[in-house]
Amino acid sequence: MNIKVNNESLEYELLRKGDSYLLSYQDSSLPFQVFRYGNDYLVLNIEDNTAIVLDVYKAKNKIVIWAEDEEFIIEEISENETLSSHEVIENNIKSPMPGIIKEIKFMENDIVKKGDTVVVLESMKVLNELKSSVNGCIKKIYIEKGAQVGPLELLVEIEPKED
Amino acid sequence: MAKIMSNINTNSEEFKKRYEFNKKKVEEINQIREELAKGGPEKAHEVNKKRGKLFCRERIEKVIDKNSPFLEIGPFVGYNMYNNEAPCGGIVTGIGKISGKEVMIIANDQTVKAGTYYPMTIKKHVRAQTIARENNLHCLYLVDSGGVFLPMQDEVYPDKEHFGNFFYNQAIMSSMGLLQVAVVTGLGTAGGAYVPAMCDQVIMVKNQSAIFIGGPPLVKAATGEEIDAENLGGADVHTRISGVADYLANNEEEALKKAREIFAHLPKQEKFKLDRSTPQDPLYDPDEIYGILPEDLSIPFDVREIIARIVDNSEFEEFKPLYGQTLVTGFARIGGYLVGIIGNNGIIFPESSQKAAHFVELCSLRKVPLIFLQNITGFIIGKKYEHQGMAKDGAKWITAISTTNVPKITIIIGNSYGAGNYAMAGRGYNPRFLWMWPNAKIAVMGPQQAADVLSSIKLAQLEREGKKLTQEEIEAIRKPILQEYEEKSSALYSSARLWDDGIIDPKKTREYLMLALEVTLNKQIEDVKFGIFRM
Amino acid sequence: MRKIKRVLVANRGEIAIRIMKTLKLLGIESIGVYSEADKLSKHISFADKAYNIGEPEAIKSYLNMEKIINTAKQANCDAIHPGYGFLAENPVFAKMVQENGLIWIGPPSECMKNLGDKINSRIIAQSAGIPTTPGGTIESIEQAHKLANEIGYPVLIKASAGGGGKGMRIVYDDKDLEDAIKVAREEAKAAFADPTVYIEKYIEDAHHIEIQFLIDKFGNGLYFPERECSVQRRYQKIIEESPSPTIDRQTAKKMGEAALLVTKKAGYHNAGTVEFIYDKKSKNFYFLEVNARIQVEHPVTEEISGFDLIASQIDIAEEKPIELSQDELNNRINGHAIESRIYSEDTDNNFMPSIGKIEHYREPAGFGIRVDSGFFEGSEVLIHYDPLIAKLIVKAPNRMMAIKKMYRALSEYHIAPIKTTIPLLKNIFKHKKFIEGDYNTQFLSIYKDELFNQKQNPIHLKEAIVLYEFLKQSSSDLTFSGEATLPSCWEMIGSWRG
Repeated sequence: MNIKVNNESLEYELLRKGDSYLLSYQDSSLPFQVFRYGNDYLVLNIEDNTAIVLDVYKAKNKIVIWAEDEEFIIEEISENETLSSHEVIENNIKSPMPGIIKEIKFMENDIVKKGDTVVVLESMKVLNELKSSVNGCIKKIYIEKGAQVGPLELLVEIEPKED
Repeated sequence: MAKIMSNINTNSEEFKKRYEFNKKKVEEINQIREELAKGGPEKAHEVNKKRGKLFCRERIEKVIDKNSPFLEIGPFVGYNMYNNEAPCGGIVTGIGKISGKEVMIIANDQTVKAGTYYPMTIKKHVRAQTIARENNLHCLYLVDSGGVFLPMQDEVYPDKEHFGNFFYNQAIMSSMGLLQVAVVTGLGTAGGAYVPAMCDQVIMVKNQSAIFIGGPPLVKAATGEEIDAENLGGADVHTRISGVADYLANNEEEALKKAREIFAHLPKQEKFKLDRSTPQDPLYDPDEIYGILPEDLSIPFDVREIIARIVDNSEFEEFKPLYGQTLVTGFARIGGYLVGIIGNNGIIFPESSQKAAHFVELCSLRKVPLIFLQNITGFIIGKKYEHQGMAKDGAKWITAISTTNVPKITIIIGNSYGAGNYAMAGRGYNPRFLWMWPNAKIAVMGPQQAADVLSSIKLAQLEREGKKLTQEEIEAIRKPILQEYEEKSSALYSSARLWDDGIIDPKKTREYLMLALEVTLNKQIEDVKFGIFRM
Repeated sequence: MRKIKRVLVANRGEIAIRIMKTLKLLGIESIGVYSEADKLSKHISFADKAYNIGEPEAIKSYLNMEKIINTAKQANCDAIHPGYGFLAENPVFAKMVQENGLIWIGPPSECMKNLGDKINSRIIAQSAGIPTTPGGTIESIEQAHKLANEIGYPVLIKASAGGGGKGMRIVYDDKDLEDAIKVAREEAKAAFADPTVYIEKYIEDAHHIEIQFLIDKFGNGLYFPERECSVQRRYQKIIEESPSPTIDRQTAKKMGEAALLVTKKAGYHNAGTVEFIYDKKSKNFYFLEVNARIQVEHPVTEEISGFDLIASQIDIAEEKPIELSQDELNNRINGHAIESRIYSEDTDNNFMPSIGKIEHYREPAGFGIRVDSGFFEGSEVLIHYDPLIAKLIVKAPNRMMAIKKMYRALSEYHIAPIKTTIPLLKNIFKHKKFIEGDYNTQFLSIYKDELFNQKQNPIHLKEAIVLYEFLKQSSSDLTFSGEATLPSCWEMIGSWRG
């Protein structure tokens, strides 16, 4: 099993034998038993013959356990935590679909900011704002107002610039 | 889950302009709704009061649990129809909680032509029963009706989903274990008599309610027997002699209390156990939706901005965010419940269709309800796409949403044109609920295009007759066509005809969805069995 | 003498509760006030009666002077206790209270006004012969350069109207002075609408030491043993102790006398605190400012003196004379007391407030442990107000035992799921330098690596893992909260008509 305790991940193995547990963690293997008293839990370390009472808060994906002067925040490691989407940023403006160029908002050599609308393309009754995905400078404009364009045509070339 | 980062600048001029526009639009709609909710003319209310009877809406308020919601169905029905004689279609329907159970309430409005059934009344009654049947809801009928509206009997009596269908539905629902209860607060004549008669448990009010197959005038005409309503089919007769009714109440209040008791003693239904976590409000204020929706629907807006203002904590786990980007699909929570959301960000391409079909499959296998946010002008056309097989990809999607097992709820937030309406779970695809936003439009194609097509036919005809038309003359022909078309594609026109279940305030969408979701869970979600996907 | 019968407590949270508890002891009725957001807050249940005074934003409720005074009149109160924060140090409000025929449980409005201004209060202190940190108001850049060189670098630039660290700048070198003044002025203007700033000597081994005092309306005064408040984050205290481990009894006596001297000169009566900066190197102390109110950390003084300071405030407001002499008070002092402030803050994340519901809450208890709290299980920590959940105060015969007791009490304090200062506080009370009493106002920044994000070698980790698995597997009698217990949407939404 893989969990995170106080933000550090750790690995262990746990076997259940009747009402007792056998925990293998790091180099040792120890037997335990758990009893519940109301909202408190008593955990017995059978080998050491020591017992400790723990207080617990349970949330959906997280459990907080207090044991004497220690506090443990235990979370399951979710798989999607390691996933992140990688997006390749396209600098240039291409037509996402066929349509008619309604408006070109910049001229060559103009500076554009990320999110600026560069071209408005009308297609299937909808005015689509094609935005720059980078900060940069308009290098070349391949179309003019009123032009009919096909899908994935290069419309405007943008040279990305830092800041 | 990932939080949606909003790009809306609430201080921009555009935002303020749109906000004002939509706010005004909502106010107009609310005003119409309030007006319709008043029911029949002032005079009819006076007569009703004189007889010591409650207005149907008062009855509903008294019968549902205190401090609980009432999810009204079809509050705009009948608007600008029948010379506005039948506001709300003369019947009030909706879901309310009675003694802790969700119940479909169907209440005749006796102030509207004595509660008689217009064609729209029938349609609304059947719609309410359909919702009850699809979502496993018990039914309460507050009967106060003079039967069919005779002048229009041909439009209310003979067909499949006409008057007769009521009783069939009642019998089927009773067999499903859905309790059918009637409180008779007025007349139940002829066909109207069968509404209570077909119920599992019936309550009548002394000296006020009567049930008979033929009323006193008909009896006199047929047999010569002279008898008054109370002695022919009054509460005493039916609870003591005939056994048509089960409980006798001294007045309406007592009758409604009795109905609450009946529901209190009903065993609780097991709801479908949909994955749920603690509900959280959206991070962004739903009120901001007003400032996002453009006045002109041909201007696009990012549906994620809407999702951010509807779902819990504005968290949205997007599925295939980089593929088929004109369609937005993903998982979110509403009121803590896990849902799949499909929203439009432009026209539909083959990729977006495949993505949609894939996502619907995911939700169907996992048994996650689907929410559709419609703003769609249609499928892409042109040689490239026909050759690519747009039609078969569209078919995959339609197969998926038709045969899915999970509840679907549809909100038309913008355009609903052409086949886009089908793919996005329009009325024909049996979504459990379908609502529209005030500025939404529904039609087979956009108004400009339609007006072009329609006027070109007319112009061609005139040209054949040898007439040469000036630009102004052409415009004079086109303009009224456009106007009429626009009116007929408006939300109000649609809602008046029950093409949807009501026009809703965009900022309250979240509450509508929360209530509706919980209603749908009364029905267990079965395992899915899809049809053939054209490959 | 006037007898107070009913008091409106113009505050919320732990201090409102603290005040109401004493009122009850004295047989005085208490009237509570609450904002919309506080409808279900704990302090309401301690009031005999409570009134809604408006919207959640403090400016529309707890800072709404007219509303509070009208409520007091409507409820037939004869006095108002402001607590701390909100309107406590607002001389305009104090004046309004009195003009409306109500008793103000606090110092006179005029005196508050004079002491409230930092420059003005320095002048009062200087005229009473109390040393202030060398420095003065900045009139021009040239004059500032001259002054800074006179008192010697490093120097501190401060906002005249301010507090809480806003508009404060430390300058180590003459060439940085001009820029620092500019920035400080802008900040001061933005925060307090007053760009006036002044310059003073920056003391490197600085201790924040303060003297609690009481003065009645007849000029009798008492000063209490000093409180050391040097453990601070963002110029705000989180630990206070009394007596201080830093200064000797002789200096403490001098500071106490100085405190009374300056406040009597300002015409003060009621309870208050004089704050000093103590320079450990030179053993000099400098007057800093007067806090004209009851302070957050007053329980520390109460614990070692046996005084109920809220009761003393009411006695003074009722025009009763102080009958105890300073010697008698000195004889009453015994033991050592420490206070920890439990804030709902994420200490590993730059003390960001952590708002939300307190779903799990257990307070420590036992001999010498006191909890002044404003919350219970299920309470919500609201974004609108100060994130102080509670104050944990311990008392023991000596400092070492008090530290041990505090550590144990903090371990018994269980709060989830919001983040609190408890883990940081525990690290502080385990820290060698703190235990030795060798710390100053830079403590948290100097030892931040040892105090924050600390990795431990836990003893009970195995038991915790076993219990975690037990909870996960034995699901039949146990549902993880989040399921089953959630309210239905139909219940949550309430009376709704679309």
